[in-house]
Amino acid sequence: MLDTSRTFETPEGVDLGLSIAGPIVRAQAWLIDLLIRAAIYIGLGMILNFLGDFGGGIWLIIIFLTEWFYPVIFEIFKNGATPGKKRMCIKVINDNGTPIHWSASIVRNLLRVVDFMPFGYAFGLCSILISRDFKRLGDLAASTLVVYEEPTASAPEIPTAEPAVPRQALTLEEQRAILEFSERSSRLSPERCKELAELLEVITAKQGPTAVEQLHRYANWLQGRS
Amino acid sequence: MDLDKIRVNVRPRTTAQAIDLGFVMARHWWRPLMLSWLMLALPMFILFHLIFYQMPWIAGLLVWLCKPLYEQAPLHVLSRALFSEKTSMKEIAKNLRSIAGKQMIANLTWRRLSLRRSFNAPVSQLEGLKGDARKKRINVLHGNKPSGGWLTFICVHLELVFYLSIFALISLFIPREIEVNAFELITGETFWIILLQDFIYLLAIAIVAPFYIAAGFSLYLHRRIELEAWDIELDFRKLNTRLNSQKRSSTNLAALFVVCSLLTVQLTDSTAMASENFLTTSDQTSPAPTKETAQQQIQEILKDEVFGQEETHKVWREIESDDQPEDIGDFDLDWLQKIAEAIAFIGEFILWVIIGALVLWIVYLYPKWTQWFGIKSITPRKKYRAPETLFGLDVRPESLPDDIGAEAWRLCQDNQMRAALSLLYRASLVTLMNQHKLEFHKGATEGECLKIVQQTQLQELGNYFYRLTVIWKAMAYGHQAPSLDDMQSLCEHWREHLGTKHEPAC
Repeated sequence: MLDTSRTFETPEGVDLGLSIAGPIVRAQAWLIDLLIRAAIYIGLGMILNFLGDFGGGIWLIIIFLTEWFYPVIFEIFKNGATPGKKRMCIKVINDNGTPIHWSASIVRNLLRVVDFMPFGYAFGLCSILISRDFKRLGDLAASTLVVYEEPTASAPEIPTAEPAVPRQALTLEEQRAILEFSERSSRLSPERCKELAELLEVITAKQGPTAVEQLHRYANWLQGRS
Repeated sequence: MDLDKIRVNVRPRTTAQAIDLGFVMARHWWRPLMLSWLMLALPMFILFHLIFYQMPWIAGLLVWLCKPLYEQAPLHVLSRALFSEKTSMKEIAKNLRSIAGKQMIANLTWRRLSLRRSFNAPVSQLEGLKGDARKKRINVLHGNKPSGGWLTFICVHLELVFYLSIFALISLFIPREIEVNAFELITGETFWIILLQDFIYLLAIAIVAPFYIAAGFSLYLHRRIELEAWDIELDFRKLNTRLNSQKRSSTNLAALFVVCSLLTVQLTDSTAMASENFLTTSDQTSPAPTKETAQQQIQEILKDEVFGQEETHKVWREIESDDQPEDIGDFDLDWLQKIAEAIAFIGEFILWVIIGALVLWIVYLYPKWTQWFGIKSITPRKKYRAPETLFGLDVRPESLPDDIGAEAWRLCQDNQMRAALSLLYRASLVTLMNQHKLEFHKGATEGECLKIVQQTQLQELGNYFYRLTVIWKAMAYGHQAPSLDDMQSLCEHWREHLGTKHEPAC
């Protein structure tokens, strides 16, 4: 099965599933960061211009520091995400799932120079396209990953119906599937809902719209309504 | 289309994650995708350059224009590979005309510049829709959040990045001895240089193409999974099979036969709708209203207060002024200039101070850095402090009498063997620690002390200390009193080995 997610097992035995971010969303994040930095440089340049050569010097120092440490600072103090990454809902973590720290962040950002070669992050792109976890060279060196930060979704409403107990015992996964069906049924066409519900005739022993209704009743029971 | 054979993990994703899945798919089926792409792209590249060898720029333009054509065959391969069907390149080559020729004119003209090309391609190619039906279907698929534009935007730039990178790489590898201006490779206008440029362009788009096609297809899949709940269908089918197999095992053979035959009939029935081909437009909702009723509804809705508001916009417009610009020469801005200069001067001074501080800081941190980088430490080791007690004996120099040997012998004659031996041993340790600078750590045992002493080069001292330790251990732990002779010799020789330099601290 092809997928973009990786599972990490914590010492407590909990499985953490993380989706790894690919080149397109990372390019978008990079673009946003680039625009932010450019805006800062232009704004500061206009102000510092009043201070003559001294201003120019300060300006260059600021550019130097920002170019090298902008991602590092944000990755350390802002939970692994520069503003661009934050906007695209991605963040950097160590590849064992722990938050990123100084050394890894510095390594992965210093290696941008190598990733950039020979022009416009071409080496980094090749590395991302080839490597299993979308890692650029800096990520490989620092053992880091860029993953999605998925917002915790609130459980959608399910259509209310009189709760009913399924005739057979269901595994956790199957219970989840029925709940999922109920939650998403409002976004599916009625025909498709019917088609799906009829697949489960084994439990519902019903056909047509009543089968859908029956599944909603199971879902209500599974959700603990009484 | 048989959902059970699908090769990707079917679950709801975000748009960005769907694109990522496309990249994973492209990586997995890279070879067939690449080959089927090149099957058309390479011959057409050569053909264009043969025909337009006098105007090679037209050839390059045509190579770019025909990109949608090359993308049809890989899409075909991918859509089959997704459901575990293999497509041989021979098959593709045979059917190339029917695969790539679909809706060619539309693809090469008004749809060519569409930013959602790779998303929309499956609708026309795999579902075979045209005209209005296609437009409707695309609207349904895109829903209220059209996707695919960013994908194309970024991919175009990736192509550009690869294009320029290949030039940069070439120029990096041209030896300095060869007088070739690498810049001319990009700007040159002779046939061969343009051919090289076009070929590099072909390489660049070839690198990106499989990923672009697969990502677009994955976006399309993502929307279908969302709209048609493929994941739920898969789960339900699994549940169905499990329950049926349970039933099977609990009934007898005859019943099994009946159930099985029923089941197959039922399954084939329920999957028939989904498995006909890619076109299962079951996500169209209630019958569309007629034109008149729709108009009426629209009018009713527009009557609402929310619509039809008046808004006032204020804009700046230039008006001609006949006033002369005010003379602002009176303002003396010199003071501002002076302040700026003063700030600059102070700032420069502060900068130098900061640099000085940085240098000092580096010098101060140097020893630490050498440690971080694994260079052998040059900081002195932690100072050793002699312990005050060893295995319960007080080993401070102050606690000893002046003449150890004599004192011990006196104790022997008093028949206080234990006290005498203890004194000797204790004094030896004190001397070894203070005069010979041996380092006994706090929890050392007699045996460890002995080892340390024997490691020194002093042979005789070692022997003496060995005898003393053996007798002391026998006395202390074994309660075996030594003979008087032994004691006498120990007492007499004490000064010889350990006492010569002994000067009590107090």
